[in-house]
Amino acid sequence: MPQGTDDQARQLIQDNFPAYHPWAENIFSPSDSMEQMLFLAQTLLGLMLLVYCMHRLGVFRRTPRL
Amino acid sequence: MHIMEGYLPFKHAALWTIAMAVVTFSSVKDVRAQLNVDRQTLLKLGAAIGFCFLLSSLKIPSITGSSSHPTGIGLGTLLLGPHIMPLVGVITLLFQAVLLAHGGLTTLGANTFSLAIFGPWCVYFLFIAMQRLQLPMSWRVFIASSVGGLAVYGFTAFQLALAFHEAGEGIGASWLRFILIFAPTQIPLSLAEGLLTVVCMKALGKSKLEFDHASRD
Repeated sequence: MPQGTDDQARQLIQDNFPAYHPWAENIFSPSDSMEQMLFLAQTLLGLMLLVYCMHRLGVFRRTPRL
Repeated sequence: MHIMEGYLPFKHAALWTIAMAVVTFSSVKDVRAQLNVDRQTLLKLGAAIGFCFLLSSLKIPSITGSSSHPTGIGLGTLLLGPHIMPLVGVITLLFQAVLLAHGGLTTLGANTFSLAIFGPWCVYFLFIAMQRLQLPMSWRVFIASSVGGLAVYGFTAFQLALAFHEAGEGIGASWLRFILIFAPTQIPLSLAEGLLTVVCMKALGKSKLEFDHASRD
């Protein structure tokens, strides 16, 4: 996985402002493989919700909407 | 555009959180008001949340070698208006902050402000401006949602620059350093995001902003 821009911004702060110490940490940090699973879950959740709502809004209907 | 947990000084984090809370609260009130007027609002809201969830879950490697997220704010803004987006954004960012360690609870205010307040209003004004230029609908959607997505990153860079600039250099110089991290990765992603927004808007029909604008003229 290539480095993310979020991490690059954090790196820039760490390099240029070594006096700054983050004052909070994530309450939960998933492991790498779990992170991928959770991202996938978010993708699927989003996709399902989007497709369901578009379906209910009549997007996939064959007859044109009036 | 996620500012990492703990990476804004306390004062900044607190102020962004207060600002976000005020706007999000009024966003919830707006959504409730719209739910009474239009039966389809709930479904449109669902589509907006789904789209934002879907796009911001895609951590896409870009041609520059680093990866980043699209924003997914265009569809909701066009379907329901920018004032409902804080609700959509805060749900998405909360999910990512709590479960994925992307962003954080202390930076939730700042991240919501850039993603779901600043970005959607940029989309809105760009769309309205282009309506005056009479560009075709799909071009308006494409440009507004692409540039709006980029604007989110511009605002994140501003938030970071505000908190982190050397005594000698201005906020502008620091902003430039941060935006140079985001821009190369984000530009191709924004174009892709714009295209996806066009596809969905084509399927869903006319934008609410178009109706609003027409009724005002």
